[in-house]
Amino acid sequence: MLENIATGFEMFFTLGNLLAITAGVCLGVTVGAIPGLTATMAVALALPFTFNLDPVTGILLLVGVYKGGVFGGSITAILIRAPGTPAAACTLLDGYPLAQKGQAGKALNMALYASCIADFLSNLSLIFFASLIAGLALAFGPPEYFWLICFSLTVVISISGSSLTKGLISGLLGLLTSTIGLDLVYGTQRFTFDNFNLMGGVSYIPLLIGLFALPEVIDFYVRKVAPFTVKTADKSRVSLAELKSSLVTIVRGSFIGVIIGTIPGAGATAAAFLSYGEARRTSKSPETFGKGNIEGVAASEAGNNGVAGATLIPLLALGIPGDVVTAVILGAFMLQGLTPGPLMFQDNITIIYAIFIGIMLSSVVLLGSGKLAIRYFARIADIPRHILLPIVLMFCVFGSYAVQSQMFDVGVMLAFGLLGYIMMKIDMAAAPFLMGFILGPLFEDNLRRSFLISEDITIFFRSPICWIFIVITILSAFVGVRRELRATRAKRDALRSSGAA
Amino acid sequence: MSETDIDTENRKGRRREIVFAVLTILASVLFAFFVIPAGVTSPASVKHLPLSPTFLPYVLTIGVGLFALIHLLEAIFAAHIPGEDDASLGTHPHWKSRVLMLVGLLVLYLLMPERLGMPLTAIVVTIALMAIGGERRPLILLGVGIAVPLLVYLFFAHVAQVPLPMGLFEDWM
Amino acid sequence: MKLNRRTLIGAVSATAMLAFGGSAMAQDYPTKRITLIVPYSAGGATDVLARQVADGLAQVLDETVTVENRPGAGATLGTTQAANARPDGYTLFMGQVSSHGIAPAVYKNLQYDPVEDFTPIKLILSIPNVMVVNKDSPYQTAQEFLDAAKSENMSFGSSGVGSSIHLSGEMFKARTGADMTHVPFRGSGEAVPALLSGDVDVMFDNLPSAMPHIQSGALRALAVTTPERSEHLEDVPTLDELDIAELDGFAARSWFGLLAPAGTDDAVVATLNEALDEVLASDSFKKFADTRGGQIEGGSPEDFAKYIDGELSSWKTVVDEAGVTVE
Repeated sequence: MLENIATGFEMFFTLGNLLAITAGVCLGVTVGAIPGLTATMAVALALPFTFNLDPVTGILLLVGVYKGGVFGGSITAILIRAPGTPAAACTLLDGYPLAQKGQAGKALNMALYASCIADFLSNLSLIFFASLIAGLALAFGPPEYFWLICFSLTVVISISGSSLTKGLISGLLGLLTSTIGLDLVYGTQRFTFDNFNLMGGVSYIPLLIGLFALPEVIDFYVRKVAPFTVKTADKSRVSLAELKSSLVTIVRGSFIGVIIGTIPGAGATAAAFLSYGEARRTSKSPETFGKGNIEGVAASEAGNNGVAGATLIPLLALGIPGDVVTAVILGAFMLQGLTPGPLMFQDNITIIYAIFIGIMLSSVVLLGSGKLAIRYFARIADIPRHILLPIVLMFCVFGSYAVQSQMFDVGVMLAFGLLGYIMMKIDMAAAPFLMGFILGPLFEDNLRRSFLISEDITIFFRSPICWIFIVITILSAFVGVRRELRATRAKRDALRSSGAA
Repeated sequence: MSETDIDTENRKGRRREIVFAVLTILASVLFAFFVIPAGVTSPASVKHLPLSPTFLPYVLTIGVGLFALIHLLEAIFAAHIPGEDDASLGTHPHWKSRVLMLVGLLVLYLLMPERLGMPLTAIVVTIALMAIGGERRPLILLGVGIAVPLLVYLFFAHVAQVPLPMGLFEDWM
Repeated sequence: MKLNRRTLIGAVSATAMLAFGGSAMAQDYPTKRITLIVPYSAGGATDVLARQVADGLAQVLDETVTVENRPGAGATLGTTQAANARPDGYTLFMGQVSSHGIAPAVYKNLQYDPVEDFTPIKLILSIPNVMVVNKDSPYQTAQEFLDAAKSENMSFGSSGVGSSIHLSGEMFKARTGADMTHVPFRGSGEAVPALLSGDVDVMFDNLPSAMPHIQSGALRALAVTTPERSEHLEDVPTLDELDIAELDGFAARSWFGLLAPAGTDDAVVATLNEALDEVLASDSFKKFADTRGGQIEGGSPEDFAKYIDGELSSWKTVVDEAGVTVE
């Protein structure tokens, strides 16, 4: 074993590998930061370059791109409310308000620290517990999945904002939007009205960009004065005390990320929201979430970066790609004549060790290049709003088009931008809508798959995992609703007493 | 703000919530009776109810209606909680014309790229929006308005390998 | 051997066309960037192949070839757009079994005609589907599985309605009268874990995604669905050779080929066909095909046109037999 590790070290420490990781992370951060260009796209773009590299270098390049991309998405989420990657949507809930308060520097740095810590923990889990938790990937059949999604949906209660009923309606509308397209089981049309562009469903990234970034642009032209100029010159930094108090949140978020990452198909966005919901639930001041609580940024970034290392667990241990990114990485392995899975641990263990060492190093590289990226990207915030927003709009249009090379998607982005603006005006939170939209297909697919696999309804209670999630779903819903009702009552009481005074 | 002001604010807020709830209920009824039957094709034989393509849309629509109803009752019977909307930032004096222009430019973004090409459309819209936003310096208007869209276009086309539509300029590339 | 002869015919016919039919415009083709439309999103099997082909073509033709992903509606969206593109040789299309085999049979209101709207260039790669079960499954052979499936309900996983994986299963079901329930997933990547954990009983997966698990022993291959055995799985029988009367001539596979919009100049088609010969013969492409469990094809544009005709009619038969349609 030690010998293998030593050989792994030898294999890893080449200039080429170090360059590959650094280049990968930097490319990832840049591409990830641009709305519409996702980590997945960056990895697919980098793939042809790996054809002529040796296996370790090639894989590390792709892993670097992936990790950089996941963090990069948070930069624009915080600065201009346009999440660069879908998983960063949760980061803007508190990151953007912080930027509005002139604390963009603080938010960006916290996002980076949380990302790096989570990434590091996620890598550790990959290296030490891969074989242990890989089984989790196969323990999740359709019914288990169904309950996991139900549990995730209870987070909607936590992100509903000022009105619980409106938040729930928003979540349901998101779910409803996700049913547009061809039906999974029968292939029949749902709400497509013979429009071919809708048959694949509403595309996710244009919806995301429209829902969050566009309302800010519209609002600027409606309001009397520029609402704010973000000042990065504010030099706001994360204090040690803040980091310490967020540490529990970050560690918890990382492990939520690791678990969600291990289960194929659940995804970084869900992990970020779950981590955020947990942080808010356990916080002493839940009412400050969504208004610029630094812990909210830490929680969501820890959640989505915790996924990054963990998605490699089912890939390396079982040969199962959990998402599109890992599917591309699987392709890269196969092109190099390597087959991830149990056999690889027997036959090519030194390569695995070399990759592990590189992956560990990538967290450090991420910290360095993240710092650098923050310094340059943060300049964005110095640009006067009336110049910045037209450019933001341009990125929204270009980015929406880029996803599928369709003008139709630009239309989708504008339509959801309008919806987002209306929701902003009537005080309806947009985050539940997004959550519903993301989880909708997973919810429905697994519900229906369970019925296809077994005629019997008892399939929904077939395993301990089902029961665990049933219990925490009910608990989470009950506790969440009670908390919100109490908060509302407290507000009314406060109002009445101030009115009486 | 005097007490009567707060009162009218409250009454307005409450009325707004009621209108919202009623409209949502109406929309969900409309959806359940017209849009779902017209928009969702259901196969002739479905073994289990949840397997039907119409199952989830109906459940969700009923959910929306139900929560809207709860919201309506809350708005009517419970005390109104004013939103934390920062009313200090009122609307722009010419907001109507500004919005109209913005909508016009957004439509331009939707229709023009396939004719004029994405870069030219972006240049036109960006300059126009900056001008509406109050920028008057020609150097900034033209410099930023032309350079940034072109650079971003080059990045998308050559680094990210996304060929944006070129419209008329197709053959130049 | 067969491949070589086909390539030879292709090359000869291509030279002939170049000699007689080349127009001035086509002679200096290509002079600008070529776009290759892929009707699936980045990172999928078709996309990865397309990027490999684009890379090879770029080297041979000495001109940039960019891959453009236009996913949606089970490949029909991107295909429609490719059909409507300008036939100047600068927009090419990565055709596959879905766009030019299954979709025309399954979708009622297709917006393109797979034959009229396209000029075939060359068949590139074919991939067998393989009938796999979990390693703990009691069935050691396809015959045993079939016997069991006649008396009890089995579930078969697929990567989605209208995929070759789904239709292979439907074909098996329709031919043998086995009692099987289709359980659709979104992509093979989601379906294979369900097979590994035993939630679905069988799958007629594309070889590349099943291969690693067959090698590691987690899945057992019962049969391949092509007429000949796969060189990557030499001891696995074909369904055809199983001596089950109902399965005689059972053939289902996935394939990929290059097409252009109808009306593309013959000389351009010939140039591309020849360039592809070079790409397919390269070591890097051979390695690529090998790791994916694919079979490198080839041949002339006419061969490919014939092949597409054959595919269209055979999938039509499957769809009619199985009664699968998408409104």
